Parts: sequence; C-alpha cells; structure tokens
Amino acid sequence: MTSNNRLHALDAVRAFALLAGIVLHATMSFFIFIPAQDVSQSTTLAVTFYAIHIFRMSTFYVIAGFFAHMVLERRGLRAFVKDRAKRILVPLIGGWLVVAPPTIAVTIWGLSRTFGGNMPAPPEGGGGFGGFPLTHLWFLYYLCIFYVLALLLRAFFAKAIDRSGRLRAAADWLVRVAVSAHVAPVLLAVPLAVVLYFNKAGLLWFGIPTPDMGLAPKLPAIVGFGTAFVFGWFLHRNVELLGRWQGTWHVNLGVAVGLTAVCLSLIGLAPVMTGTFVDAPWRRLAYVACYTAAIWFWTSGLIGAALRFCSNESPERRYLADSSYWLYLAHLPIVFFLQVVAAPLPVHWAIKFPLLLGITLTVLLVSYHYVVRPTFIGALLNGRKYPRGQGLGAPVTPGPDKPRGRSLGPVAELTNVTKRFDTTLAVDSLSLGVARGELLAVLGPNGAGKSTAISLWLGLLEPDAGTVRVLGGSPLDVENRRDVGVMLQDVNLAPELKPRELIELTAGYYPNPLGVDEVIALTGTEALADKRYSKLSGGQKRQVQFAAAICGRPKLLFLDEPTVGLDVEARKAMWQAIRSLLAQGTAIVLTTHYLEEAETLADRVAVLAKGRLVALGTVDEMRSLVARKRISCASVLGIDDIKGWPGVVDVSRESGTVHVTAFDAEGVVRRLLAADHGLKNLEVQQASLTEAFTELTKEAA
Amino acid sequence: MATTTIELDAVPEAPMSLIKVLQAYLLEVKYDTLHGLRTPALAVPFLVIPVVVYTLFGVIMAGESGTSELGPGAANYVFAGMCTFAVLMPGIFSGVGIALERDGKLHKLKRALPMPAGANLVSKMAMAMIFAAAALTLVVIVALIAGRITLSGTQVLIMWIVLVPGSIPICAIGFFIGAFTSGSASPAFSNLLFLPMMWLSGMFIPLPEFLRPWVVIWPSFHLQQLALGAAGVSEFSFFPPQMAAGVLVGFTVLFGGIAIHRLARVG
Repeated sequence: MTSNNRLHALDAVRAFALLAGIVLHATMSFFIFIPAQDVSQSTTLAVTFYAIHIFRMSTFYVIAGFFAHMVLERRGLRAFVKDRAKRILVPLIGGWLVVAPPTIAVTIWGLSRTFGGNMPAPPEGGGGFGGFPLTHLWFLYYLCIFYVLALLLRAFFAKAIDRSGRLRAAADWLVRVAVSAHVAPVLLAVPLAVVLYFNKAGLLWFGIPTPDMGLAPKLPAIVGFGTAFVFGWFLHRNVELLGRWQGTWHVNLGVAVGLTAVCLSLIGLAPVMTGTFVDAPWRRLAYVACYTAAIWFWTSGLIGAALRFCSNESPERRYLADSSYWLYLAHLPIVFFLQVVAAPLPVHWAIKFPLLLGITLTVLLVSYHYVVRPTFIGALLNGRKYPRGQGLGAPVTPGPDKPRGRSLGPVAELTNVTKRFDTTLAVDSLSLGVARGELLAVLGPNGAGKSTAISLWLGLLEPDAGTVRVLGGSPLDVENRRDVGVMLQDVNLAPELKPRELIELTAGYYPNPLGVDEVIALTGTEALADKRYSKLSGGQKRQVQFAAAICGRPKLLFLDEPTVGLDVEARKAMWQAIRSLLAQGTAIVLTTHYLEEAETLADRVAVLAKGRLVALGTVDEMRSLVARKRISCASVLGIDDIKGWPGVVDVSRESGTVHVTAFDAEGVVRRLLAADHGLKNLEVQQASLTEAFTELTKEAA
Repeated sequence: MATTTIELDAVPEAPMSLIKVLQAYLLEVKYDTLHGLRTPALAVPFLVIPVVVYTLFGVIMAGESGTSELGPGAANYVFAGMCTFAVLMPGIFSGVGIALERDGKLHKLKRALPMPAGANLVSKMAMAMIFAAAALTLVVIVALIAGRITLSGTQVLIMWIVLVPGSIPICAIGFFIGAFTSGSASPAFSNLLFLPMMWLSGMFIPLPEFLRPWVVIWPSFHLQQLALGAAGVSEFSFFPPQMAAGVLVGFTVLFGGIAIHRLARVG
C-alpha cells in the first residue's frame, strides 16, 4: 500500500467520524431533551447515539495526531504552525462567531418550548449556561491545546531530556509491540479507564464528558482524546503498523460491537442520569474497562476497514471527504433548528429522523458546493514513501565440473500417481524416480505440478491414485522420512532464533546428524550463525534453510528453488555443497527456475507441464530431443531458395546475415558452402536447455 | 567451505532411539520457550498483565471499595480469579504461534521433516505451562506479600498445582483457533474469545442475575471451580470439582482432537 492509499483511507475515516457526528446530534431530541424533547422517543436512536459517541471523537483525534505529525515532519515547524493556524484556529474563532450564537439561541428556544417556564439546568451538552459555551467547536479548541502541548513536549524532549532519541525510540518500540501483539486497544484504554473510574462527576452513559462548557481543560477529555492524539502521532512515526489493523478490521469491529453490547447491558439502553450502578466498584470497573476498550476496538476496526476498502481514489469519496469539515462545522444550528421545529409534530421518529438528516445534509452540501468549494483552500498533503523489497540474486554463472557418482535403484519414486484438487488435475499419472547419488531437476512452468509432486513425495499430500515411495516405504510414516532433508519455498523459520539454534533443533529430529559447527562450516554460514534469523537477508535465510535441510545427513534431499535471492558467491558455495552431497550418494530432487542451474547440476531433467511428464532424460538428451540447430552466416543466397532445402525449418535475413533453423545442420551447412563460395562468418549453435524447455512446454500446452 | 565434505556412510546407522526422541521433544520445548521469551510482545503481557491487574484491582483498589457483594471472602475469590486469568492468557494465545507457523509455512516444513509426531503441540503446551506457572507465581507472591487473602499456604499450593496443568484444555482451544485462522487474525480471534470469557465466566466480578446460569459454557469457570474445589474453598465452590475436571477433559478432547486432526493434514 502506498502512502497515498493510506491518506485516502485515513481521510475517509476522518470524514466518517465527522459525518457520524452529524448523525449523532440529529438523534438527540429523540431520547433526551436537548435541544428539545421530541414527542416520539426512540431507544434505537439512543443506542445509535451511544455507539457513535463511544468512538467518533477518539477516532478523529487519532487521525488528527497522525496528520499533525505528518505535516510537521514534511513541512517543518514554521509551516506547521501557519497551516494549523489557518485550518484549525481560524475556523475555531470564525466558526464560533458565526455558528455559536444561532446554536445557543435555537437551544434556548427549544428548551423553553419543551419545559415552558421551568427549565432544568442541563447536566451536559448544548446551551448557554455557565462557563464559556464552546458548542460543538470544542473539538477544535482541544485540537489547538494538543498542538501546543505536542510542540512544547517535543521541544522539551528533543532539547532537554532525550537528545539521543532513545526515549522516542523506546516509545516507538512500545507502540509497535502493542499494535503488533494486538494489545494496543486494551493498553490504550487504560489511562482513560482509570480517569473515568475515579471521575464521579461525569455520567457514565455519556462516556467522556463532552467538554463544551468553559475554557479550562477538562481532565477526562484531555486524557481520553490526548491518548488518541498522541497515539495517532506515533502511528505516523511507525506508519507500517496500519497494515496490522487492515487485516483484522472485521474482528476488531466484531469485538467493538460485542463490547458495546456488554456496556449497554451493564448501564441500560437509555441514558442513566443517576443510580447505584456507578457506585458498585466492580461493575463500574467492568463498565469503564469495556467502554474504553470499545473506543479503541471501534477506532482500530474502522481505520482497518477504511484501509481495506477505501484506499483507492474515488471522486465521490474525495468530494465528501473534502466537504465533511464544512458539513460538521456548520451543521449544528440547522440540526437543532429542525429538531425544535419537529419536536411537537405527532409523527413517528422513523420518518422524522431520516427527513431531518436528509434536509440538513442537502442544505449543507448545496451551501458547500456553491459557497464554500469555489473558495476552498488546502491541498491534500502527501505522505512518505517507503521503498521496500529486495531484488533477486545476481545472474547465474555456471560452475565448472560436475561430479558424478550414482548407483542404481530409485530412492524415491512416484508410480502412476494422480492428484486432483477439486476439478483441477494437478498431477496426472506421473511416474518419476530418483536414484542414489543422482540429482533430478524437475522443471516446468508455474502450475505444472512440480510443487504437488514434491508435496506427494514428502507426505504432505496423499495421492488419489498410484503409489508414492520414499526410502522403501510410504512418506506418511515418519520412520521412512528419517533420512529425508527438506528445503521448501517461502518458509519462515522461527524468527527470533539464531541459525545455530535452528540447526541444532532440526538436527535433533535425525538419528545421526552432523555436528552443528560442521554444518555451519559446510554451508559457509559462520558469519550468520549467531544473528537472529529475522535479521538476515533473503539470501542468507535461504542459506540457513539449506543448512537445516542437510544437517541430518539425508539420503534423500528435496530442494525447492534453493538459490533464489542468493548472490553469486553464496550460490556457488551452495552448488559446491550439493555436489559434495551427490558424491556421497545423496539423492537430490531439485526444482528451479534457473535453467542454467539445472544444466550445471542435474544428471537428469524431468519436464512437467499440466501435471504430466512431457520429457525425461539427461541434459544432453533433452537438448537433442529438440534437435534443431541454429545456423547463421553472411551469404548472398536468397532465403526462398534455402527454405526449400531438406531439414530446414525456418529461414530469415537480418542486415545481411542469414539465420537458418534446421534439424540436419551438417547437411545444410555442406549445401550452403557449396552454393555460396563467398559465404562468411559461419556459426552453428546447439539449442540450449532454455530453448528445449520452452519448446517442450509449448508443445504440451 | 568446500574443504569439508559430508560423510554419509562413515557413521554407523543408528535407529532413532527413545532417548533421542525424548531429546527432540526437549529441544523443541527449549527453543519454543526461548523463542517466546525473545518475543517481548508475547512474553511481557503474559507475565506482567496478571500481576499488575491483581496488584491494582485486587490489592490497591480493593482496599477502597469497602464491602462487596461477595461477602468477607471476596479477596480469596478475586485471587482465585486472577490466578485463573494468569493461566488463561498463555493458553488461549498459544494458538497464535501455531497460526504464525502455518502462515510462514514452517508448519508445513515440520510436517515434511522427520519431527516426532506431536512434538510441536506438546512443546507449545509446555511453553504455555511454563509461562502460566511464572505468571501464577508472581500473582501468588503479590497476594502473600499484600496479605489480602485468608487462604492457607497449602490451599494456595493446591491451587497452583491444579492451575498450571489447567493450561492444557485452554491450549487445546488456542490450538483450535490457531489451526483455523491466519497469523494476523488469530490474536484477534483469541481476544474475541478471551475478553468475553474473562468477564462472562464471573471470574472476578459478580455477574448480573440473568448471566449467571451461562457461566458453565466457559472453560475458565470450570478451571477456577476446579482450583477452588480442590483447595477446599467451600464458600465459593458452586460446581462439583470432579464435574469441572470432566468438562475440562471434554474441552481438551474436543478442541484438541479437531486441531490435531486438521494440523496433521493442512498448512
């Protein structure tokens, strides 16, 4: 996933959190009296409010922290301050001046309509009672507080107590470990859980008490949303962690829903204004634990889902994401006004609520499109790009001499073996054997049945028909695998063990293994032996896997693409070890994509295509099986003349040089020389194994 | 490196003796545990969370909470719950290792190698028991130092002895999860089981009336009851310990059986 994909996804989450806030406010009159009590009350909408209220602001602050760090890192301190002042501080002050007065007026109007002369002192939310009414713009105010605190703390850490960056590295490590171990949602919940547990003033049904009254920072909001902001900040420092949430979004959301249900079952579906519940310590503890964990499971689940489903560029979503900030800033007076107007109407909430939401969004979107968008400033910032991946090994250089030491009788044998997966015939009546001291190279295009054949030999699969024998018996019996060594493709050995330990562990499975140091010397892995396996490069890991494969003095060795990712030196070393094993009588089955490797090492080559054996023989036999040769020369002869000659398959001319492909190369050369005395630069080439292979599999297809 | 050659025939052929098979099991346990200890994301939560949670809520906050619905022996019940909790974590999450090995095709490689059958699962179980024993011991130490519990030393010892092998049925469930889920999903699925189990089996909080009959579906309830019953804490013995043990064996056979069946054939 590129950084741009990530930004699309996170933008979608931010937009979702803001739009969810509009829905949240639209539900209010249907279960509490703010801004007015509707005649049609709804438990469904109370639960909707409850669920959205759990996560939406925390989720928003995670994204805010993430982008804050991104802007700061990419554009520097000065640009960060300028950018945030423009996009957060100005909307806070300007927005308050425009939006707060009508919101407060509508709320007072609504409350007076609901309660007549005896207005209660609202326990939370809306209204212009006591303190400074921030209204819903409190979230920008707290964002500014977090920016200031973040910059101060950052400067303090960087300049005073953490010059070496060790503390920050430790914090990064902690975040990585927590997210990787999937305990982040639980750990992140702890600070807020402690605060809520002891904060007897707030109503637990409403989670983090909304800090919309007064400018003095409120502890639960600072801790709850501050945790989210700081976590988002560190998430950008360790941006690859987002992938962890992408894979488990469904589980995280499942847990979130479950925890929300538990919370509701503990506290009730409708808001509880007082009650003994909050005083029973264990139940209070259970509630705050579930509630705060739910915050983080919702957040991680939603971010994961967005990464999974919203990381592509979509114009509609882009538009909505761009507009969401305006929609949220401007929605409250409209929503409250409509709620107050609708409150006394004798219509069911299931009609009123969608209508209310629809009118609000229409008004807001029209205003955005014509009044805001043409004047909209601010470009989407690009994230960082992480180049990753590691190239394959260097080109193969064939080694010198081939050792040959073989004896008769197959060590491993497939006889008329058929294996079917659903409707696909993976292996079709295949018969193939490998003898002592022989290297059999199994070649074939992807999907030819190579891996299936190896899996059958190793007892990983059972054949549908035919027999599989390994060292005289069935591979399903561990006794018959005692002398088998294996190197499979794409295997991750235990990452935190060292090669020395991995070899010792594997050697323990064999009755007469080589000594660990012996194996290390033999495979040239001395320099790697005491490093963690996870710290090795791809090629080094292959070397260790090879070492583990041969540590048991195998009589039969399976090597599945052993030299992928190896550099020239390491490849030559491995080839040397393979030759040494052959000389000692080990039977080896090798699959490889490097045909040169097969050419260098193999005694026999088996070519598979579509599950069938299409050719089997020595390398030379394979070449001659495709007996064509390629003749090139500078000649004046016409290509149409040559085409008619016996044995000629194809003729072409390329800037004066004639290329002839022929079965009977000698005859054609003789005739060429006779026909053109001025013929020059004559060259005859044997078909390579690559050509033979291409030819054979093409015919099979 | 080419100077060394592999001498296949120089060594007399010896069969795989019983001693060597046992050594292979021990090596597997050694390196699984070592691997676990070198993976702090795994080891630290297992060892630290139970003792920290117990210290916070069983010792520090219990002092402020005053009277409890559970009566005067509440501290003992909470202690037993925390001990069970300490055993649950390494057990349930033991499947994560299996799932990761399946993801990395290591499980496939182990199936192909002449590894003694069962060494992999046995060593994962042993590792879980080692972690459980360590976590449990930490909780016991804190409980004894804090002096909150009124259980005798023998009772605590019996609980310890019962709970450590109590990892086995929990591991079986963990393996079941690990056998069917991917490496990245298995921690989440384990949590999905672990979190509700922790609360809904009433291990340390009194449950609402309507949930109480349902505690019997959770192995954690049976494990705690077995420990309490075996230690003779009659005040909180709601279920016959023999039956609890039977249920735990049932869990082991059912989930362990399915997991073994699948792991022998897939991944």
